[in-house]
Amino acid sequence: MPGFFRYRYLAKLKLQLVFLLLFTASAAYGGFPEKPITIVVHSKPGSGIDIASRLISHIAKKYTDEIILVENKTGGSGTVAMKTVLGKRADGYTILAVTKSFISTMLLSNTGITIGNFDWIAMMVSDPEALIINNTTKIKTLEDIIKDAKAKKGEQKWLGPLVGGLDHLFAIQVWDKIGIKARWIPYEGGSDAIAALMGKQGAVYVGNPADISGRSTLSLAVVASAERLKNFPNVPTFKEKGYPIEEVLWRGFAIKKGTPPKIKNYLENLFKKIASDPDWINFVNNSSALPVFYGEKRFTETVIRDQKKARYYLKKAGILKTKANSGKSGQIPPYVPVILFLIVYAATKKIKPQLADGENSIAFAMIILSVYVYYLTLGFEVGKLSGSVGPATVPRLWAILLFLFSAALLYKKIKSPEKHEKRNRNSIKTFGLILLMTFYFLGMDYIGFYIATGIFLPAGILWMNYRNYIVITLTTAGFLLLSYYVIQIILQVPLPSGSLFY
Amino acid sequence: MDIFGQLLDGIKMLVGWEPILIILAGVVMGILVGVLPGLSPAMGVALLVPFSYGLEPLYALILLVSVYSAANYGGTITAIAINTPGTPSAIVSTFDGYPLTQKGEPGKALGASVIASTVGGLFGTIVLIFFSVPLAKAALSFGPAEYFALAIFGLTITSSLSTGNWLKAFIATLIGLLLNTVGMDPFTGYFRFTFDIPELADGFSFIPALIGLFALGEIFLQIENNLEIKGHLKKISGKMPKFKEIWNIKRTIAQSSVLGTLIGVVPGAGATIAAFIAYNEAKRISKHPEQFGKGALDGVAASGAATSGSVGGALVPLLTLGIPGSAATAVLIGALVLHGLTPGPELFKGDSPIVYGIFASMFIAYTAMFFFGFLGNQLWIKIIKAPKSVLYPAIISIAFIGSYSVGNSMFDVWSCFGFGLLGWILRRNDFPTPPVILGLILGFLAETNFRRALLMDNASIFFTRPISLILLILAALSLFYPILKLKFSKKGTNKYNKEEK
Repeated sequence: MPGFFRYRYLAKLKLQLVFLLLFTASAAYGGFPEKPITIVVHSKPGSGIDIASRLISHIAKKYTDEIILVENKTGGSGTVAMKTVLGKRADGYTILAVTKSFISTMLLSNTGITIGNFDWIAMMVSDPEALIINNTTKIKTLEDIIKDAKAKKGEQKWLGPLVGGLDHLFAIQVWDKIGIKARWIPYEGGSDAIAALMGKQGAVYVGNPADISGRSTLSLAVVASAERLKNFPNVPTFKEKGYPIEEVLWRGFAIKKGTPPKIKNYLENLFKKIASDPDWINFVNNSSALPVFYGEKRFTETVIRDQKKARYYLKKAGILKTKANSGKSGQIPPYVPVILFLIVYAATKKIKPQLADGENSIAFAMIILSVYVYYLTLGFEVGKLSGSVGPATVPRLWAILLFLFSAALLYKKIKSPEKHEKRNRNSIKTFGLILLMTFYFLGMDYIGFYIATGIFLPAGILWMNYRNYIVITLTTAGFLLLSYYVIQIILQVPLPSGSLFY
Repeated sequence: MDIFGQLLDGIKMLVGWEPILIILAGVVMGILVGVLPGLSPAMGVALLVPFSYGLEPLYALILLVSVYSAANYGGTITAIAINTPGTPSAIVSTFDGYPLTQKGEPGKALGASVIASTVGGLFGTIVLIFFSVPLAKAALSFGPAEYFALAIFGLTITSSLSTGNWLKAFIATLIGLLLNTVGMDPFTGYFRFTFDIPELADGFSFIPALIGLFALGEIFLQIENNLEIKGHLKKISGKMPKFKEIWNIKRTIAQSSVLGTLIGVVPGAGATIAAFIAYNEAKRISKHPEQFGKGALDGVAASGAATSGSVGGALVPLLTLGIPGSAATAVLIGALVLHGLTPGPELFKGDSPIVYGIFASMFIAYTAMFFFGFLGNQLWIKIIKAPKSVLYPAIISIAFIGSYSVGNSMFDVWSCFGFGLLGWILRRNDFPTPPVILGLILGFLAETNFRRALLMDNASIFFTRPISLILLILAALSLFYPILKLKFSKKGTNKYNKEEK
């Protein structure tokens, strides 16, 4: 591939130019990058966006001298990852891998994070939404879907991932624009819903073209792209069928707002180069999506437009709460039942000490807990989507059962108390260790894993009355070395590095 | 049969030092990943995906599949040795494996686990090769009603996990079930019991809960109870189980392999549920059910065989339908795409299908696992022999690494700590902790499928679909059988309680 090499050569040249520019123009920031760059990914290792990010870190070696690391910060559908990036300096060394689902996350969670907290520097993948059907059933085209939906009068089943996600919002949009009604059946993940479609448990699955690859019983009925897709020339678009529906799932990268423009430009350029790398293009094509590159301006416009749309359909679906009914004030805070428990415990201990043993305390604590849980479920919003069983039903069931079992245990124990032989317990040692652990975990954030462990291990061993100092030193050193080589070097799992040292 | 010819082709693909070396490396990595709590098989496979990028597709896949195969076994090692399940499914190995270690017989437990895991793994592979297609079809007929019934059946195992007082076992299960409802409600997007903490939106991570309840809880309890017995608790023997001992539990191993494989096929059910159910069934057919939970070799074997069997099972829907049967196979799908392959039946097409190379590699991987397992056992026994006061702080550090690496979040570490305290409080008052885990695993499966079934149909669906009805009947039987047995043999129980005191 001579063209490829020429390209690489050009890229190198351009990169050098960029470097030169950076060096001459900005003395204040030095050369960027001068240390490893981290991409923060919101999902677990092995997920689609994680694999894509790791591939980018691999490809980037061609275009930058610094390494790019991938770090997974899972939780809260992306909130934890967003908070991580916003908690760092706006220096371009921490990049957030973003997908369109972040828009819903920002709208639905109450962390106060908005799209304005980020600079959306590069959109790299555009994956059109599509309606997928099981081709061994009678419903094969968009017309079939519409006909069947009308015949079933709102009972047609559409399968897909969780409520409020992109695919669900897309389904609502389709129903709205076409003028049909159907039922959204949410699954934990896309593949569970695909399996259900293959098992003919519903009529339509809302997903992306990649979802049918290798699955011969599934076909695309219609795609929401502007034009027909290269890989699926026989699949019509919504536009052709007369419905103005266009929707893509995008993936890209964002950085914290306030990053110096030069660094921003550097990163934008870096992603631009990666976006036209043949390895990257191959990978995106393999996953039946479209490799694209939108720079900051166009990407930001896309994000703003999509947020508007998402807000509209989230409200329509009854998921996004309007201000009026989102107030949860007036709720009894969780420390109230805790205090109640402590008061009753102390009183019992004073009046009838033989009753205040561990088992009775647990049973009593569970009774309070179940009442409190039941109380909390009273404040749950039922919402339009729940059907016959709402979000409160199952927790209430567990709470009632817990109440009954705990009450039964308490009753049994009070009626016929068992005699305990006094167990010889050395609780001081346990409490001491718990205290040590607390300091160990708290300190981790400041002094990092290795130093904290280097202090905790000998301290813990000494606390448990072991006095062979040679063994203590060797164990500590061995443990640190082993964890460094196995965890950090071979398995490349990042451990806390400590905020004091960088 | 054509299939044998293709298998032979598959073996030919693996001739040469490079593929063999890759398989061996994969098995060692797999055991290592399994041993480390927090690194689940799925995480292990995922961490090696970028590493496999430089390899050619077949080699990359046999590396990842070898890691997956061995990781499930690796988890049982730490479960037996230090009561810290290295992988979620290995939790069942702690029930009897750790008591055996405490009795000074870790060699027996570790040996039985490696043998059962190898048998289960090989059985799963054979099923994968010969019965994929019909099994995958059956898996597709699993709808919400069936999943719900399976979860209810699983929950009834509580009654056999109780060690005397079944009220306490049920309370423990309900604690797990309630903790499981924390997080965003998947059906309405409503945040339940999250108290505006963003990390709670996804609920508690499972692995930190597991490490906390078992590893930390055990440490707190042991320190409190046993510190006066300084240093070594008991003489530890490295003796492996005798051939006769293994032969005696052949039925348990065979039955658990079958259960593990079949449950592994059902997407979303997974190795952990398989291990619980296999354990329950092993206890039911056992001649000495009262030994379970106190160091029964059948219990250890049931868990090992079922977890390993589930690997072959989980690959069935991946290879025949392109649908992941477990978290680790979901990562494999990503790896296939990365290497330009299409998951699903496409893998069987072409001149020399890559799939047969994978099948052949699994036989080699399990054989290698068997040998490494036996060699490694001596090493683990050495570690167990270390004084407890040195071992416990190290386990706490490992618990930190394990819970942190799940999502690189201190929140998971603190929730691991919290679960440790919960486990300790429960254990010191004779509440069993395994039911808490059962509730945490099955709560979500039960609730979402219950609600999904009702969204799709009316309530009669649970009783009109045959698989669902059978599972519910089994659930009712398995719930009341142990309780009734306990009631009818009150005398026996009393005697047994006295023995314990």
